[in-house]
Amino acid sequence: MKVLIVGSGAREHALALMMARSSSEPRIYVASDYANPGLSRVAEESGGKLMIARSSDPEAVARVAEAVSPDLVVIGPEEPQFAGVADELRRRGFTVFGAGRRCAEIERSKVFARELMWRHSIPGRLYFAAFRSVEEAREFSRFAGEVVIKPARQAGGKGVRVLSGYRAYLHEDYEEMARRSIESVASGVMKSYSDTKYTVLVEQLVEGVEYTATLITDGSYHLPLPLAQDHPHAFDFDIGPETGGMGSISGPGWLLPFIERGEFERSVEIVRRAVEALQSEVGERYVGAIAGQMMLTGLWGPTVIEFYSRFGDPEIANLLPVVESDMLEILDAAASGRLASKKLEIDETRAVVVKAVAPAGYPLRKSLGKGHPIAVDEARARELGCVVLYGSVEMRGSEMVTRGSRAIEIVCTASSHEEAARLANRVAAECVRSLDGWPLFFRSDIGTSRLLSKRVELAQRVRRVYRSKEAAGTLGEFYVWVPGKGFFSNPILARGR
Amino acid sequence: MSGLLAIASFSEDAPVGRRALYALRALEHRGGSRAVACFATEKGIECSSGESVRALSVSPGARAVVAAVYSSPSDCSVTRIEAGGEEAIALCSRPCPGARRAIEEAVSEALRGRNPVIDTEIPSFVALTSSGSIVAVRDSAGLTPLSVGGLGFDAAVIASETPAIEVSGASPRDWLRPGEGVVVSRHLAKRVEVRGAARRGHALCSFELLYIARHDAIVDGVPVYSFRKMLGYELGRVAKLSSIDVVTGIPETAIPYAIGLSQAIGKPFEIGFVPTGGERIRAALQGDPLARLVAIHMKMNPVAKALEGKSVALVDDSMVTGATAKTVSQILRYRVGVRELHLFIASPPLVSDCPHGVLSYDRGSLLAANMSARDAARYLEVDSLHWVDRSSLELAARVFGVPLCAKCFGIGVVGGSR
Ligand SMILES: Nc1ncnc2c1ncn2[C@@H]1O[C@H](COP(=O)(O)OP(=O)(O)O)[C@@H](O)[C@H]1O
Ligand SMILES: [Mg+2]
Repeated sequence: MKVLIVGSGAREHALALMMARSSSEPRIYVASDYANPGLSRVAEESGGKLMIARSSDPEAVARVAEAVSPDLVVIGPEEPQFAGVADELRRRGFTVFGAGRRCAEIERSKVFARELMWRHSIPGRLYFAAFRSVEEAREFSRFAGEVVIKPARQAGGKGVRVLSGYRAYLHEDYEEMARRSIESVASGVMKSYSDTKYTVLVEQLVEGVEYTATLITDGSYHLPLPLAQDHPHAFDFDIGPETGGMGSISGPGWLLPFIERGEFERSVEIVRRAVEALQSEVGERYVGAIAGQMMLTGLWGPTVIEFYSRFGDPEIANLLPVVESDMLEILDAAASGRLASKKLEIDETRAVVVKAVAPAGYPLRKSLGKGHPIAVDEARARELGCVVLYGSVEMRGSEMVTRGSRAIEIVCTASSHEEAARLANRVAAECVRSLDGWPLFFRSDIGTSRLLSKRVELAQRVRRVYRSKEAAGTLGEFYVWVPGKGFFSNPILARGR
Repeated sequence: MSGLLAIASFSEDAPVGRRALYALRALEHRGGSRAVACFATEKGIECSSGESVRALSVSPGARAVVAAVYSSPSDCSVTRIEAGGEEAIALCSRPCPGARRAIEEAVSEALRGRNPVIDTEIPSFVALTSSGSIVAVRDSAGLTPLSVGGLGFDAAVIASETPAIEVSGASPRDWLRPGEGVVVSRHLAKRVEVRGAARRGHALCSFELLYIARHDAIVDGVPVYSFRKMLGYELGRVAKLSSIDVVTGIPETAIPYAIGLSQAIGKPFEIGFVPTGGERIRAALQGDPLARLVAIHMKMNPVAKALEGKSVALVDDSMVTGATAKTVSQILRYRVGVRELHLFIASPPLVSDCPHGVLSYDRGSLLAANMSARDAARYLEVDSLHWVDRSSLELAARVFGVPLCAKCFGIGVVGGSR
């Protein structure tokens, strides 16, 4: 069997390793934007190879596919989906795992995703306002207080401003921050995209613990993955700018230590309903992975922050050490509409901790983190029972150099998160070295009991709130009274009045 | 005493100058006679100082600020250092003339992302370099606390107490362990750990929980209010007095102790005094005896009818010279006319100097070190005088899982280690 993976990073590396274990002994080919050493190795060891191609160019990927003639194509990242790579390949008769352009709209447009949830009354939805013009958004946000300002389009983890902790005595700072965020969304992040109607999204701010609920789907049957928790802040103590995710934890089993079974089930239900709503609106089957980037909040319990039309990175790496089923068989079954007969078996005794190692400069000044040679002692990592995934690194001759984003992901497993985190910290500190002295960093706190106990505490706090709202029948509602104007359940709208 | 603060922004869209000044006001109870704030500018570090936080000026657009308040000008410890080839300024929790080199070393290593190895004891400090990097390190002895907070994706806040973090708009994330530090430089933030001989044995200064911190603070994971209520409860449990009618406390540190005591003995808590001036006045922190008396008089106008003719349990958090207790007993006896007066001190008798130089007072002026219990009761004109005993302090420290330095009480270190 021949498989073609589209994509270039650590997520694709994790997928390749899982598929390589399949009893169908696939030959793995990769259409990658650059020479990712991890992907080339899995490909070559399986008898396939890595081919350089612009992964978000449907024509370029189609050419690779025609040359390889794979039995299955797996599309990793979102940008190729937005660009219609899956559609082009399907048009040419390939069997593809990965959302088509119209289905991927649920990730590409945050406004569309929110509207979809409202139109179909899907629980876990937030109030929002979307703007085409900077002026409108600026005017609206002048007195906005506690809101989140986002680019209206998925922009690869950039430009989101969480205006939390509003204090009236700091109103000048909040107005200023809101104004500047809107301007930088418009003139920075959103400038490179011409494919959306809206520019800025202003939404209700919520607080709680984040986690990811992923489903594999063939459009009618859905296979949930174990929950995972990503860590968006760049640095220890949950401080620092937003990143694509500095590491994730999962297990033991299907839940997380701070999420209860009922909450897991509701989260899956939310994602399932979103898939159904989406299919009914775009008139197309959803084939691939879809994830709810969730937050357990006092407002709703499970709440949707955004959707991914693909597997999360690093979250998919959490599956690597525990999956017992044949992943290739599952992805292939999903791609060809035969998922109903499949089950996902995992080792339910293991906790998994994944940590990303990135060059200094990431995430705000990636150009600084680019072009630095690094070395990885994989043998030592293996001795410690961990797997090394290659992300934003490429081979330049015999040298491995950083590309500015998360370079390496380390996947460790043990009977507890604490132990897995200890291993991951050792590997990150001892086995990944910068060769030119440019600093590399990772988060030492991910997976430690010290951090986990905070999550448990926060989850308990928000759980108390949503349970009481649930009992009162006001789940999802947040009432605002503007004397003389009225009583609103939409805090965002009320602000504009 | 002192209060330390450091704020660094990760984004030019999120200036922190105003936040820093508000946060510093939430630390003013830790030191009301000297305030300093420094921020990085294009031209280097700019500092502003004065007698109070209100006298400071910090550019609202500043992206990195360190600041401190001190309870007396002699506690003030602003040290110019050089770190990583840059000028820097360190604000220390207490004067440590011998520690300058060690602090310089700690800051330089932290800026390189390395764990400093240091053999001399250093105080807790916050430092700012001229290029706007911030380093905050907790003393390796663990005496003086520091907490870390985050403001969305935009800024990091480090402060002596969690309420300062909250007042800045950020949320507390964790507290620094003894010898632990954070460095926030332009493109990187990192946790560092001071290693070396100075790391041996550590405990939090008892006074942080007993007296210094705000009730709304969480210090080293310990909710201060709950800790105080528990000690108050212990006072009541141990004393077994049946003749008391009402319980009151000296504003405002003693209030949770009084509530705890009231709950232990099942007698009502009453508001006994109303302070004037609005701000929290720390009488015991005033070095000058006249200033101390002024502070006491300002905060002690009695609610006479709540206490008149009653047998009153009066609670205070600590007793240093006894000046507060003496003044209050005079007010309650002569101006209010209480029937009986029982004084409860929510800490053990203060009998020795602080070997760490955290608290500065003269052993010769400590009431408990220089007077018998009987004389003390006669001098203070109270019917009985009670202190928290060693086992109650030990119990509280164990229950809250915090190792406490109680050397000034002649006790040593009590409570759990972590
Ligand atoms: N409504 C919200 N309330 C609170 N925090 C939010 C909200 N929306 C986003 N965030 C925070 O910002 C992060 C990034 O937002 P997200 O919508 O996921 O954008 P991105 O596409 O950049 O990942 C989230 O992981 C979450 O921590
Ligand atoms: Mg996201």
